[in-house]
Amino acid sequence: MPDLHANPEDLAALRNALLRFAERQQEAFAQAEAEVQALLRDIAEALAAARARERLLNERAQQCHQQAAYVAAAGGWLDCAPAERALAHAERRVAQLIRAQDMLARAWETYHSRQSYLRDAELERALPRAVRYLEAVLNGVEAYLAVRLDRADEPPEGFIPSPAQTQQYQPTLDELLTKKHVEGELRPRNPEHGV
Amino acid sequence: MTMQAEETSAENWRALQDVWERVEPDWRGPNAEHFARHFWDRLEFEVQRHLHELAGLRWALERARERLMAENDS
Repeated sequence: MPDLHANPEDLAALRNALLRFAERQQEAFAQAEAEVQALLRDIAEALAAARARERLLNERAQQCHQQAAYVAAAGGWLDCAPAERALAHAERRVAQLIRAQDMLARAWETYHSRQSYLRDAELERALPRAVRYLEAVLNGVEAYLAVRLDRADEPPEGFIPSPAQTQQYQPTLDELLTKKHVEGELRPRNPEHGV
Repeated sequence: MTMQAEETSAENWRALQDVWERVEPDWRGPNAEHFARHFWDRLEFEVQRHLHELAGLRWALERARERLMAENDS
């Protein structure tokens, strides 16, 4: 199709693919949010449990130190090192979960700003414009093909047009798209040739 | 470890690219140039950046999961 430089079926497929892409990408955005939020919930639950354990072990360590003081006053000795180690472990666990929570929250924030840009600027604004543009191109192609089909019936039997005559009845695709050509108002470029 | 959103996005982009690769070689002229310059190139750039950010998010998810699972070992 040398005059059109475009296959209408391919352009229609591209338009449909763009619409599908926008729709499926919304699913991907929702999946990303669901995955992150689910993990953030799990971390929050684990953190609440770790903090409760830390409080409990802190109380136990304090009780141990109080008992150790009584025992020491009586001349004895009570080892609170195991209670201290358990508390230190619980504190590290809380700190580890807080770091995981902060890291994931920051990663989500960074990702979300990019996702928002893609969604708002590209998929919700630019993509519909691209689809409308393709539809305009397709309409132009269809109008062009319709004009060519109409023209095919016009020459009298046995009439062989010269290249110049052929060209004068065929608007280019650019003319159709830039509205230089209005359907039903085709005029030869050179009036001397007649319609 | 995989991330569903990353797989969906990559598949989705590949599907659109496949269609574009069928259209692009035969589509010539100012309309094609306008479409490529004002829409396709920009979309491709933004989608690649989005996929890059998704990979970063997956990395963060994996590290966060590792730290969460470590709780069970303690």
